[in-house]
Amino acid sequence: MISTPIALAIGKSLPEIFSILTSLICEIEVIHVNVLHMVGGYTGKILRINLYDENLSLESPNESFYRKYFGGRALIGYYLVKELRPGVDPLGPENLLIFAPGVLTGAPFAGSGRNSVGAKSPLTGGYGDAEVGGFWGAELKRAGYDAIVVAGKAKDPTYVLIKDDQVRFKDASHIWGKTTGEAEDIIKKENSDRNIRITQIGPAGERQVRYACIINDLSHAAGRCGLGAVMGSKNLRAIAVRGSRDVPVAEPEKVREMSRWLAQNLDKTYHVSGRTTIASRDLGTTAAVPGLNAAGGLPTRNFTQGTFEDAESISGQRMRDTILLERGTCFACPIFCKRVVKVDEPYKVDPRYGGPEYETLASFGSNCGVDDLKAISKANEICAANGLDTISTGVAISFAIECYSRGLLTSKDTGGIELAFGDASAMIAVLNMIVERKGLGRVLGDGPISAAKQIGRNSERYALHVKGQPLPLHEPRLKPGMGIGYAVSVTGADHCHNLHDTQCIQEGPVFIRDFKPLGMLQPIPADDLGPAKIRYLVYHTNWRHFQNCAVICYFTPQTAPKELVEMTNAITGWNVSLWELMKVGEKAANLARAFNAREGFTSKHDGLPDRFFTEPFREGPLKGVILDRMKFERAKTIYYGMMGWDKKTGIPSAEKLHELDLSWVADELGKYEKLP
Amino acid sequence: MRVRVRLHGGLHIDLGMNSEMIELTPTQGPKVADIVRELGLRAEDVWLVSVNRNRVSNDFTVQNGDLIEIFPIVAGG
Repeated sequence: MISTPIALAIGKSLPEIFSILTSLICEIEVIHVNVLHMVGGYTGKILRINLYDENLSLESPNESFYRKYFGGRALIGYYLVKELRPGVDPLGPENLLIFAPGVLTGAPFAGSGRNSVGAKSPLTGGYGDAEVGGFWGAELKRAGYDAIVVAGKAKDPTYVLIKDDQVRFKDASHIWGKTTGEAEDIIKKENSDRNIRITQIGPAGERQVRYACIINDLSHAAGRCGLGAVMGSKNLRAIAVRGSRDVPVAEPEKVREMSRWLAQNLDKTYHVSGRTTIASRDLGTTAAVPGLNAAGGLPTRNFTQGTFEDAESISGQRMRDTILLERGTCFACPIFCKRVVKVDEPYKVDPRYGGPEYETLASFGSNCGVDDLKAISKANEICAANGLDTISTGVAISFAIECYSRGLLTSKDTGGIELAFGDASAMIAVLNMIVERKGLGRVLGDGPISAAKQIGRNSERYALHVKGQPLPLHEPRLKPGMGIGYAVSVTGADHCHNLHDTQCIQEGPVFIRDFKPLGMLQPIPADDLGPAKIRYLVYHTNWRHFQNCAVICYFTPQTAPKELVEMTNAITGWNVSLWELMKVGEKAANLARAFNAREGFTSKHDGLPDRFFTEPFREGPLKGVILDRMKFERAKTIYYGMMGWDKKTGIPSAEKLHELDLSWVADELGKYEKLP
Repeated sequence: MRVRVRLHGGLHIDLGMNSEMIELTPTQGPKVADIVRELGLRAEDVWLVSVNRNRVSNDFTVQNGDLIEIFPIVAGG
């Protein structure tokens, strides 16, 4: 790769360059480098920012680099393995924070507005990344950048303003402490531009709550792995972007034709739920509540139950019929699957923060025993306004409630609040304590491993996490394949680069459309955990890893295998195959796994909380069901073998890394004697 | 016999109905599978069915006044 100092320019005289460089204290202008446009989809520029000395530089990778890593997850893995040494403090200045859209981001089709964010996670101590929707990712590409790599720590609270070639460091001390909504208003007003797109943390990230997240456009979250805390540790409040260029694509008419086709065929294409795309708009992800409840797999009261007697009260239908104001969407997407709610009493909930999706309905609803949809919506708003992951926060609170119910916490620990499943106002009170980092909130905000240590009294058995990342709201006793996916995930428990066992049980439009092209040809029962299910987990997860390299939305029909190959070729001009794209996904998985191996992670970190092996449900359709530990461990070993990882340690073999064109990663692991 | 049927997850939209709750006098048989067919649903559209809040098989025989809830596959997220 070529590193281009900011003083290099084409078309500017030396006096002009010196004048620009010396006239500014807080503003530095990146001179546009007239890079020969290589392929469609890429700008050819990765912006490097050092917050400490406000240094800027550009990297201009060649075509092979982009085709090999694509963007998103693989690009993040590349930088973290290449540039971080093991043992770096995730909240120290040496950590990198990488904002990475992908190859397809910003091209005009549904699902292309997203970006990934990655760093060493302060929640797990390992590889961390999260994906986020909205518009910011597309705007960054329109400004002319494929990614931003942030290093160092600013001396004072700072935000970065990017307008095409101009990159400025701006004082953020007047924004620090403000909600994301307040900060957005200030940034737009002081820059006289209400069309700026902003990615930012809130006060929770400033205070380095370990599961603080990064918020785009106020209602879209890069939720997992505590990346908001990393951003807060760097004194970086926001990156505001305005781009004026269209993202170049190789075959613009083909891209337009495919986009038009989707918009005109919402009633004939299928969403991942198996409903038509237009039908999926009705409820979005909130459609999952009653179905999972009927199946006995709706996480309830800290995963002690699988059915919630008041599921109707927190359902998507109830939301639709009472507090739903409108449905929102992302860049270039005609689907409108997002929820936007408005509540006036007893809580005021501002619709600019969107509304609860499935995970939030379950995490602050059934899993805390709360049947109050307005309270759940208020919790959602508090999280969006302050930058907190709703999954991790809700599960932290359900942990605290269970501890309280078992006498492991008392009202002395909670500042007088009596915690109980079903008490919505207590739930919101604890949530505010987490935001403020006060009392019990300070303890819970340190993440589940540390919180359980601080509480002691064997409370760790009620802290439901993998590698420190709290469990998403999908029950492993209903979806055991997902349970394996939680255990082996490099980011800790994650439901996105994973398999929903319930999608594999019968042929249907999505099974045929999405799974068969990956070689997943026969339905498999949800409770099966044999080699065939693990093969599905491997294939489907590697495909999801690729989707996170392209950073496109899982919920649109055009991100299914066949369509995505076609769209990739139309945008880039390459002649990719599904095989090649799957290999990119596999590469991303192995880069992240290698990063973790170098940090000391092994197969002993790939597990699930004991609850799922020892505590059967006492009632409901899954009464008596627990996971079989021997079957689970066998399935895990099969997963390692299928991935080409050492069966004892779970570390990628040198041969697997060579096969994926990651020989440099094999060398790196060899240097630290981590290769099996 | 008259039963109430609730179609979850947007199924009613795909069937061209205005409401997810309908009342039905089954004409093709009293089993759950008969009702699913009578509504115009394909087997692949249906993940599970509950009657009066209890999960049942396709072979289950419904009674007058039952509430039948039909769920498509869901993922979540």
